[in-house]
This record gives sequence, C-alpha cells and structure tokens, in this order.
Amino acid sequence: MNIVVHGLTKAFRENTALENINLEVPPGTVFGLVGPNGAGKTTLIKIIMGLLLPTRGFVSIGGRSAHQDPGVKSKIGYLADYQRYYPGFKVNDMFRLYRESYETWSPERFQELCRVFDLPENAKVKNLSKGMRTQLAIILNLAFRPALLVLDEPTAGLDPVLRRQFLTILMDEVAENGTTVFISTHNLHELERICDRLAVIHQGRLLFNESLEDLKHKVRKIQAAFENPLPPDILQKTGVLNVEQQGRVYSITVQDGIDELTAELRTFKPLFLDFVDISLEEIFIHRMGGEGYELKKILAQ
Amino acid sequence: MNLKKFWPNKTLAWKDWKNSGLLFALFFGFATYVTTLALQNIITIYLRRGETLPEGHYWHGFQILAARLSSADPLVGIGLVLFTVALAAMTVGQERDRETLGLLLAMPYSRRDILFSKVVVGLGQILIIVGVNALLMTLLVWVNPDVPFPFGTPDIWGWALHSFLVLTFVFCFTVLIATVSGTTLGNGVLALIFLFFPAGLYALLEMNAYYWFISLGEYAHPPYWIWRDLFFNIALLATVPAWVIDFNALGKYNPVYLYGALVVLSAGAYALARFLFAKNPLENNGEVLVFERLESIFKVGVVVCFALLGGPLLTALAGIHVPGPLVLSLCYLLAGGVTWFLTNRLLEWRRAA
Repeated sequence: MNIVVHGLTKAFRENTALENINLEVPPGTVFGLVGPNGAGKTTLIKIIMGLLLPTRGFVSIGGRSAHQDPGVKSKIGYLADYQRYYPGFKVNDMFRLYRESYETWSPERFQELCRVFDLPENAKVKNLSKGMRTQLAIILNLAFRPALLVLDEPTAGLDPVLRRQFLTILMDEVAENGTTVFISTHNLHELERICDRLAVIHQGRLLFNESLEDLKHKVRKIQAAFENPLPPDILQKTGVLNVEQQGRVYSITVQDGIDELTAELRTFKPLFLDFVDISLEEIFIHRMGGEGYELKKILAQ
Repeated sequence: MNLKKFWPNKTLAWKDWKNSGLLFALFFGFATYVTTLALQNIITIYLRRGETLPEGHYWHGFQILAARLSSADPLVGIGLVLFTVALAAMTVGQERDRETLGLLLAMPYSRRDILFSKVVVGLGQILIIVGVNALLMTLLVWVNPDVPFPFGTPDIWGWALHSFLVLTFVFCFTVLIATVSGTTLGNGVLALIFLFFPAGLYALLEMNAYYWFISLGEYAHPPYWIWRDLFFNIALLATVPAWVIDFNALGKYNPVYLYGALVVLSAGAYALARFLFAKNPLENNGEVLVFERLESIFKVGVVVCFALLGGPLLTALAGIHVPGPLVLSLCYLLAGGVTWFLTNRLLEWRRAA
C-alpha cells in the first residue's frame, strides 16, 4: 500500500506547520521520518491518517483518502506518539474493540504477540505504564495484519529489550506480509537498522528525502595515511564533505566522485587507504551541514 | 433500501454504552427515585392511612406526583434536563477530554458512524429510563385497583412521551453544540445557556423595562416580584421546549403540531451536528476553533446580559430604590465593564492553559 503526499501545506492560524511537502512511499517500503520536536512530523502523520485536513495539497493511501474514505483505515495500523485509551476499559475490552472493528484480525497473530508482550488482560488501561500502553498499541495494531503501519515515535517508553523485540517483529511483518511502514522517530540508529528510505523534516519543510542505499552508496569515508601532508587543494574538491586529520591519518567523507578522489589520493603513495563504514548520523551531519543545517542541533532541539 | 443505515455499528454502540454506563445508571436512579419510587412511597403512605375520600376527591400526595410527572415540578424537570445535557455533552466532549478522538478516528469508522452511534445510544438510554419507569408506574397502578389515582395509564404514557420528546430535543441540541464546542464542561454550559437563553432574556428585558419605568417615574419603587419572576422563570426550567409546550407560550395549539415541530427540530439539530462533525472544518489538533471565530459575538452577548442583570442589581445593592436614568446607565456601564474585563482575562487564561 503506497502513500503519496503532494503539495501538502497545513496552516494553523498564522503558523504554517507544513509547507509544500511532496513525498512518495512505495508499497513494502520502510520509510523513516526524522525531525526535531515541533518540526511537523505528528501533523504530517495526522493528515496521512485523515485526523486533520490539509490546508492545501492532498494525501492518498493506496489511491484513497483516509479522510474521505474511512474504509481504507481498515488496512492501516496507527501508533500515536502517546497512547490514549478509554480509562474505564480493561485490556480485554480494547482487544474486543479492535477484534470487532478489523475484519482481518488474526487470532493466531494476536496469540503470538501476546506471548511476546505479556500484558495483564484484566488490568484497567488507565493503570498501565507508558511502556505497557505502547505494548498494548503494538498488539492491537499488528494483530489485524495491516498493509500499512504508521508509527509516531513507536519505541518511546519501551525498554531496550522490548525495543529490540518490537523492531524484530516489525521487520518480520515487512518480510512476511510486505507491509509498508511509515515511521517517525528521533532515533537515527533505529532507523538505520530498518529503513529503506529516509526524510528529514525541519520547521515544516522537507529538507531531505533519499533511499538509504543511495545515501550509503553516495557518501563514503576514506581513511588514509600519508608520509607527507596532502596539498590543501585536493581536500577542497567538490564532493568532499568533511576532512579530519590526526597526525598523518586523514579521514575524508566524500559524496560523489569517490573513484576519482581515490585515484588521486593513490598518486600520493598512501601508507594505507581504506574505506570505512559510515553511520547514518554521520552522513546526515555532513549532508545537512552542507545545506546550511546542523543535524545535531536539529535533533538535539 | 439499506436498513443498516438506520442501525448503529454494534461495536461502536457497545463502546459508547460502556463509556456512558455510569452516567446512565445515575440518570436512571434519579428518574426512578422521583417517579416510580415516589409513586410506590405515596401508595404505601395512602394505604397505611386507610383514609377514604369522597367520590371525585383525590389525596394531595397523588396530585403532587401528577404535577411532577407533567413537568410542572422545577426540581424534577431541571434534574432530567441536566442529566440529558450531561449525557449529550459527553458524546463528543469526553472523547476530546480524554484525547481518544484520535484513536477512534484512526479506526475504520466514518465520522458519521461515530456520531450516529453516540446519538442512538444516548437516545436509547433516555428511552429506557422513561419507558421502564412508565412501565413500572403502570404496573403499580394496575396492582392497586382500590387506590383512587387522579391519573390513569394513558396519562402516565402521555407524560412519558412528552418527557422523551422534550429530552430528545435537549439531547440533539446539546450534541449540535458539542460538535462546535470543546470539552464536556464547555459543551454542557454552552448548551444550557442556549436552552435557557430565550426565556432568561425575556425575563431580563421585562425586568429592565420595569426598572426604566421606575426611573422615569412610572412606579414609586421596584416591586419585589421583578426579581422573583426572573429567578422563578429560570427555576421553572423555562427551556425552549418546556416554555412552548408546558406553558403554551405560543398559544393553545394542537399538541400534535407542537410535538411534531419538536421532532423536526430534534432531527434538524442532529442533521446539522452530523454535517459539522463530518466536515470537520472546526478542529485544529483537537482544539475547536469555531468558538474562537464566534468569540467576539459571545463576548458581546455575555457583556450585554450581565450589564442588564448587574445594572439593576447594583442599584438594589446600593439601596437606591428609585434610580434616576443617569445612575441606572452608570450601573449598566459598571456591570458591563467589569464583565468585559473578566471575560477577557478568562479567555486569556484559557488560551495560556
């Protein structure tokens, strides 16, 4: 199930929360949305889910609008940033509400999830901790085998073990059912493990939207040591995002033209020259820095 | 013809029933206490006294109850209306208060399904409350053939139908308010203001007219009944339907027309509520904006009403029995000015919160 967002703008009185957002999430993709608090992530998710109306532009899910055609939501699982339930309901009541609301509810899948997340079925939801509420939301939204999962900070409140379990379950879901996942988070390390495509949103604008494969292919880090210092002009070439020097060892982050630069570096007879793994966070920091944004600042806000 | 359109989604109905269960139980308890249990109590007292009344005479206990059932008892009337307003204000308001509207709207239900289920469940609860009590009272009348009741089974069911139709209007009107307002408390207060407003404003204008007659020398001093009538009208639960039907405010029309008009008004209020809720033009991340758009109108309305109430009240509190036009005008300005200031502070505080 794909998502298409076209020319989306959302204004709340004088404040523009989202400005001309365009993106496409192909079916079976895990799409990560990164941004600081107040960037517009939750607003975008609420518009995708049909909870809010856009000021301009449109969102379609599998060619349908969630606001105009609520039937499409029978295939969408949604984990909000904070789980709100009816305080008088027990965990069992929530199971019943979802079981009877979604035709594709799978008792087998439900049992599997209940084995992973051991929730007290007779407990009142108002007495559950934040982490338990998130676990309940995970069970409720995965048990009907959704074609699309929209997740807003889904691992907030989960301990590291449960967080890892959840991500494993999520990946199984994608592998087994081809579920499309739209996930918003602050945690780049998590996204690196699971995402096919990533976007950064800041102050309502989409700064960046690329596939993880392209990113990792385009941006590389070369580590090399030389007997003599390199001439400065070679490190100021187009495509060099960052250079760090410690003694005779250079760490050069480069985007595009990697082969040309490597060939040129080899002419200076390096003592060694290797390609080292670069983390998603490093890629973002260098890429966004080049575009006038400091990702660390963005994520730290 | 698809009959499913006229039946709510059973899962939503179950959820709505479960969420309003406590209030329904309290409402049922109150209605039963003031009707069925009151009748049983009066029958018991009557039988214990062993009094025999002449033909055509009825014991006063039954007559008091008859007045209560025909909605002439302000306390019972206001109780039923308050419970109905609370039940209706909760429909959408409680989802906003608990921030569960997002959970519900993310599920595969349309906004129309959601509202329809809430209205059907609410009206069903009112029907059960009125119907069960009418049935129980009918049984009490049947099992006591020797007791001279001043009313019969048709009267009981007539009162039940009257109550159901009036409360249906109150419910649908409050649901309409709830779709364009915010929390449960806000919905309830706003609905009560509108329900009492026509009768209250009428009384307020009448009272102020008399004050001006006094001011211009027509009366020697303000008659006490000016204040008495103002509060009596409010205490009598002079909501629009009660005003029209119980007090025949529009004259002696055939009740069928009046009740028919009430049904049409209720259906109209629900249709408008459904339209507004489905269109969702009013919500901004759960915050409802329509009130803000109409804020200046509401503010002016509140200031005018409080000036009309506060102006004469200030003259009375100051011990001025015959206020001149200048004093009366100054009192209006003072009451209106204080209200304007307090309303602005209140709105600022609400926004900051």
